[in-house]
Parts: sequence; structure tokens; C-alpha cells
Amino acid sequence: MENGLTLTEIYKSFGDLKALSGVSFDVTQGEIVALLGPSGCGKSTLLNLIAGLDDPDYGSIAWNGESVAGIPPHQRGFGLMFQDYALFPHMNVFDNIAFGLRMTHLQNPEIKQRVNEALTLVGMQGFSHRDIVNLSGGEQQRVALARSLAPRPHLLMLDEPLGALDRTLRERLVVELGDILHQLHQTAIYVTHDQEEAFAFANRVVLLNAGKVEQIDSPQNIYHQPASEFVARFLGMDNIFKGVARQVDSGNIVESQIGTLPLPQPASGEITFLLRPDAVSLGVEGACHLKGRVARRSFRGSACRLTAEVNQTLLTFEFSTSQPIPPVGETVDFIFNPEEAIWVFQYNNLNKTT
Amino acid sequence: MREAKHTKNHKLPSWVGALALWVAPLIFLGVFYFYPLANILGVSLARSSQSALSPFVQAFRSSSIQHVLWFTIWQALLSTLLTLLFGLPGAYLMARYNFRGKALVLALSGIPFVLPTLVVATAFNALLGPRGWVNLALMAVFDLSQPPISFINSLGAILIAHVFYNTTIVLRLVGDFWSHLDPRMGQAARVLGAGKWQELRHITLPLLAPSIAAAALLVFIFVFTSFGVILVLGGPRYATLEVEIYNQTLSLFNLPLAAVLSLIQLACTLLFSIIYTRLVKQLARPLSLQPRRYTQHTLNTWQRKMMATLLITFLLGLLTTPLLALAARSFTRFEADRGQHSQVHYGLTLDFYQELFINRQQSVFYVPPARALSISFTYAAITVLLALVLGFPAAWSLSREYDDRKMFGAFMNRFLDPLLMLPLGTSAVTLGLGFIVALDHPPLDLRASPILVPLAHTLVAFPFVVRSLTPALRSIRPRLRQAAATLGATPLQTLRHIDLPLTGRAIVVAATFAFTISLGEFGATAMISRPEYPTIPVAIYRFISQPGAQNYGQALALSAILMVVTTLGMLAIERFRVADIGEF
Repeated sequence: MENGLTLTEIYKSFGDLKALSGVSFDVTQGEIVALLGPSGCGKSTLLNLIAGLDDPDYGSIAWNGESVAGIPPHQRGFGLMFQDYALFPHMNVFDNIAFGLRMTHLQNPEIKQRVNEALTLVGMQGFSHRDIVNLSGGEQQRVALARSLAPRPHLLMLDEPLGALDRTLRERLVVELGDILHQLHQTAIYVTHDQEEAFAFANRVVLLNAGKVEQIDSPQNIYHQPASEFVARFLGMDNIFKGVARQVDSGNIVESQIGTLPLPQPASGEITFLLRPDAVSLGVEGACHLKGRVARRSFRGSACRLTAEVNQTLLTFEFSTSQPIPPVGETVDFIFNPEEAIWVFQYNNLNKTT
Repeated sequence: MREAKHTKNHKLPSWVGALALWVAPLIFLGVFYFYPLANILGVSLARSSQSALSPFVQAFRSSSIQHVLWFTIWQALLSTLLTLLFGLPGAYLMARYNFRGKALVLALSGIPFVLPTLVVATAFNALLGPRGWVNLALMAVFDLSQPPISFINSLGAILIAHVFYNTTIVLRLVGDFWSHLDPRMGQAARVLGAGKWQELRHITLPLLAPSIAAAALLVFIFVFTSFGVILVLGGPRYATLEVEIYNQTLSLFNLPLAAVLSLIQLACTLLFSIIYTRLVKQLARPLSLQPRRYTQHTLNTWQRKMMATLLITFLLGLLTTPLLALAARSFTRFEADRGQHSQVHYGLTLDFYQELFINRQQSVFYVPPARALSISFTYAAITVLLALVLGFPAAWSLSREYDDRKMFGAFMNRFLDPLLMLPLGTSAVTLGLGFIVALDHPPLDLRASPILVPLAHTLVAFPFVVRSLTPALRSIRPRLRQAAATLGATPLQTLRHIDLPLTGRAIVVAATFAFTISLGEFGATAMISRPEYPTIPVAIYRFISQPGAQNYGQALALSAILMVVTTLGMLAIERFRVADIGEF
């Protein structure tokens, strides 16, 4: 990979804590890669290493094929937008955005022009002389974005850029942010613990767990083909079971605690599989059928989450609220198509399928 | 509504309680602070025939006073600058790194700050004075008959002693603020293309500026009113305003001029204190301060280890060498024994300590030094008692929170909080002068009474006591007592398990403050102490002003005792204190 950022086998420890162990991936130019994972998985540490604010214990970081080891942060040409923005409180909006440009000794007229461009880009024209402390959270977020874009970094890293904002604002800004980055063809790494943000505009998602890469793939593939139990659980899919798979006359089946279910692909021996919560519907007629008692239901607007007891095991399903949802205590029938609803994890499946 | 009103009427109005707590502290401050100050003003205006301002104009016109003023400001500026230069690298180390022994380094750096000025002065004397280690070593090596370094009675001695004293202010004030400064500010600058020096210039220093200014101003206030250091290390050539007030009062008996000078000085320190308070308020600017665990690193590279070692050696070198020199010198004899000029004994000796218990002079006014010890400890005990009795109700009132800013108690708190701190901004010599001019005639004639000294000490210790007690009392929110009650505690159990454990330590801290302040206080004591009742610092000053190896040795021995007692006291405070030094 010559064009863009290449990380190879990055290791980093803080005392006994292994923050990163053997992280490798790359970001091609113009691509937006989301770094997704629970808090404490090493996302921010990785950004610090790429930015040059800290050094890896082992492994290499290269830009366009050349190692950046030993190059101090201010000469790398990478931008980093911090989680709570780290706006300079002793400077106004203009000076904050101009800071990076002044460091490169640009002439004043050009600085002014580029700051105004950046302000226009984030929709903050007319804010240049405002004090940082008087800005709202969303405004601060835009100024921080403008500040990190103004020096035109080769690579922009965004560390949970919307983490500090409330939900409605976040949902609006995630769209705007995606538009701005795509419009600039900005190479970017977007760190978040929120799958919706990651899926919203990333070309690829790197899913990190405890300092290790769990899966690298497009958002669609991550969602539909989670590589591991961890990935599935992280994405909120909890119906994960172990079972014994074998071939019978009618096809492939798995025997598990929730019953005997057909498998979409050939498998044998012990397997771990997922029953997708969103691929099951209410009814009697279907390819597959489960009977259960409603134990809990929680209304979430457009969808309703329903927990049912099937063979003394709790399963969670999601239904659209456009249909009537059965009350707690009622025994209902669930139907699903195994092709859509059952996903067999690859790692302990002997007959691997792709 | 009517029901509520009805029950309220049975209680005393709240302002009665609020006022009752203030009665004793206010009477004390009124009689022993404001009344003496008013007398100083009276004395200074007494000889003005034309206008109220003419004595001040005359003072400013006099060339000797101009010289004193100029020197006071000049040495204060220089001392402040040097202290900053010396303290800031240390503050950086304390702020950004975690290492073993850091708490010890910080505690050691704090010792000079709390030592009595006379101990510091004798400590430098023991190191660099004509009979100090350095001169003795040089004389021995090069076989000289005269000490080659004349450090005492020079501007250099004054400046170094001031740096020695005040470095810890920079270390703590700036270091503490720096340690909470979000390191991502600097990192953001680095990522935006700033080099290390540009980061320092454009981000770190501007963000630290208020804390640096506050530390500088605090140092400036302290060195502006410096007394003991100038008197002992500066010699007759150098006089600050403070020393000049002392000289005008005790040597020249020119009370009106002393009064004018002390008013000038009071105006200056008040002005500086107001600016300081403003600056400290600025420190609370919304800066997204971070907890230390996010901002501090371990010393993980050899460059960092090297830098830390150098800095700590340098810091502790200046801050502990004089003290070690003092302790060692007080046990060492280099001169002939008393009366035996031909026979010179070198070596370790306890003579200077034993001599403290003998009255060689056989004079009424010359009490044995051991007496000074017992007098000092008695005064200190009285000071502790007075300061606690007066300070507790004041702190109790200040710690009460009022829902309504218009309530009488809230108004009293807003008004009295700065008022209580006034004695802190008033120089000790001025307090002493106030006692001399105000309390030597009816209605209050305490001239011959030894109680004057502990009263003055109480005045100095009072703000410290209030400042130590208030945060602890404030920490007992009504919620805690209510919580205890809902968990089944009787009022007595609540007092035993909630109030006492929470304030007990603060009371110990306050008492220790009062005790050590009283032991070391020199400025006011020098003005008002009676010859037959000398305190330890007064005795040290007497010994050090007199010639002879024996006197010198005894000054060292007394200083060493005082150093040990104060150090122990301050270490106890460090262990027990609830609030940080920023409270003061």
C-alpha cells in the first residue's frame, strides 16, 4: 500500500496495561476509515501514535510508504481533532483557526482567506471574533473542525468528535460532517464508540477490541457478517448460542438450547451462531418457526424490542411498531428465513463459508 | 403558609445568631487591629499643620526616604524575577511528571517558606557568613587569615534568601495550576504545526499567565515587606520600608515618620492584595481543567530522567544546603574555648546547646536563653488558645451557606471575609508599631504587660486559623448530618462520628499554624517585646548582633531548635491539612 497510511503490527503498553497489541490496517487516500470499539479499546492511543504525540513500542507507521518514526507531530502534516476539541481558550474563533496557518508562516491575507474558507465550510461565517467560551457545544465542534481542516492536513483524525453533544445535534452533525469530509476528498480516520456514527459515512470500519483488530470491512459487511461473537454483541445482537451442527437428509441443522434449527450453509461439529434480532417476524407460516412467551417489551419509537422466553432461554427480537405487538405473558409464534436470520461465526466452524 | 409563619415566630430571627458568632472576633479585631491602625493614622497626621497630606508629601520629598522606597521596590522586583526563574522549571517538573519521592521534594521545598526569617538568616550565615562553612573551608585550604567571601551585608545575600524563601510559592501555585492544564491544548498546537518552543510561547505560557502573575505578585508582596532577612543579611547599608519603620521607631524614636511610612506600606500591600485576589479569581476561568492522572507522565526516557535529576538536585541544593549547614554548624566548634585564646579545639560539641541554660551576664535584662525557650512556648500556647477561641466562631459563620444573598448572615459573610484577611496584608512591624502607639495610654494601657506579644501573634495567626477551619466546617454539609440522622444516629453520635472527625484534623492544623507562627514571629515581637521577656527569635537576633564565637554558636543552636520545631509542625500540617496552599 503505497498511497496513504499504513500501520503494521503496532504494539503499545502503559505499564502492565497492553493498550495495543499487533494492530495493522491501512487507509488509502481519499478514504474515510472509522475506528470503532468500546471505550478503553485503544482507539485514542492509536490516534496519538499516528499523530506523533507518543511512540509505539513496536511496529511501523508509514505515510505513502515512508516511515514517519522520529518525525515530530508538527512536521507530520496530520491533523487531529480532539474529543473535547481542545480549543485555545485565550484566543477567539479566528485566532484558533488561524493558529495552524500561522505556524507555517503564511502571509496575513492568505491566512484570512483560508480562515474564512474554513468558516464557510462549517457554516460559521461571521463568528470569527467570537470568544471560545461563549460558543455552544455544536459551535465549538464546528470551530474545532475548521481549525483542524484549515492547514489542509494529508490525514485528518477525529477523536469522538460528536461524543460531547446531545443526541439530536449529533444526528444532524454526523450528516454534515460526512458531507464536508467527502466533499473535500479528505483522507480521515474517525474514532467512535457509536456504530451508527461509524456506519454513517465511513468507507471501511476497523473494529477494535482490547487493543486488537476484530474485523476490518465495509459497514454493510460488518453488520451482516460479523467476524466474531464480540463484533455481534458490540453491534447489539445478543442472540448468540452454541450448538452441534450436522447434515441430515433435508439439509443442514444445528441442535441447540433453543431447539433444532436449519442452517443456511453446510456445517458440522460445534458451532457458534447468531439469530438476528431484526430478521424474525410474528406469524405462523414461514420457513422456520419458534414458539415463545413474551417476557418483556420495550417501545423505542419506530421499533419495539421484545424479549421472549423460548425453551427457557431469553431471546431478543426487534419488530416494526407498525404491527400490533403482543403483550407480556402471551405465547406467540415467530417465523424466520434461515438464510437471513442465522449467521454462523467462522472461527470455530470447520467447514468455513464466506 | 400561615402555619409556617407561626412556627417561625417562635425562633429568634436568624440575624441574631449570625451576629452573636461575630461578636468576639469583631471586638478583637476592632480593639487590636483597627484601633491601633487608627492611632497610627492619628500620629502621622498629628504634626501636619497645613493639610492632611503634607506629612506624606514631606516623606516622599526626603531623599533618604526616596532611597528606601526605591530600594524596597527594586529588591522586591529582582527577588520576584529570580524566584520565578528558579521556580518555573521546578513547577514544570512537578506539574507534568510523576516520580517516586515527589511528595518528599515538595514537602522539603515548603520548609523554608515556613521557617522564621531569623532562622533563615542564620542558616545562610552558617553557610556563607564569615564563620560559615564555605569561608572556613576556603581559609583552611588556602591558609587565609580573613574570610575570603563577604556574602553577608550584600544585596546578593538578600536576593538569595528571598529566592530560598519563596520558591515553593511558584512550585505550588504554578505547579498545581499547570498540573491540571489540559495537555491536549499543547498537543492540539503540535498537531497544527507548532514546534515545542512555539507550543510553550503561544499556548502554555499564555494559559499559565494568570497563575504565574498570581505567584509573582504573592512573592512580591512577601519580599516587599521583608524584614528579618534584610535586617540580618543586609546589614546597616540596606533598608526596606519595613526595616526603616523599625529603625525610625526603636533607634530614632521618630514615631510620626514611622507612622507615615507604615501607612504608605499598608496602602501598597492593600493594592497588591486586591490585584492578587482579582488574579486568583481569573484562575477560575473555564479552562477545562483535567484531573492529574490525565496530565502527568512517568519519567520514562533517559532525557527526562536526566532533566528531573538535575532540576531536583538544583532545587534541593539551594533549599536544603543552608539548613543542613545550620544544623551541622551548631554542633561544631572551630574557635578557642571561652577564655582560652591560645588553645583551639576543633570538633563536635554540645557546648552551644549547654550554654543556652547559663546566664553569663548576671543581669536583670539579660535572661538565660533557656528562658527565651520557655517564654516562647508560653506565648505560643496562649496564641493557640486565643486564635482558636476567636477563629472558630468566625470560621463557623463563614462556612454557613445562605440561600438568599440578601439575608443578614450572607451580607456579613461577604463583608467580613475580606476584612478578616486584612491583618495578613499588614506588615508585622506595622502591627507592632500600632500596639506601641495605641496601647500605651488609657483607655488601654498594656505597655508593661507581657500579654501584648501573644495578642500580636494572635492577630498574625488569625487569618491562617480561619482559613484552615472554614473549608473543613464547610465540608460538613447539612446533608451529612441529615444522612446520619436518617441512618439512626442521635445528635450526640452525629457530633462524635461526623462533625468531630471532619473538623478534628482542621483544628489540629489551625492550632499548629498558630503555634509555629507564634514561635517564629519576629517583626512585631521585635517592636513590642520587653527586654526581660525575649522570645526565641529576639534572643537569636541579640546573639547574632553581638561579636564572638560563643554568641554566634548560641544563635545557631537556638535557630536549629526553632528550625526543628517549625519543621515538625509544618510536616504535621502537611499530613493533616484539608485545603491546599492556594487557600492563602
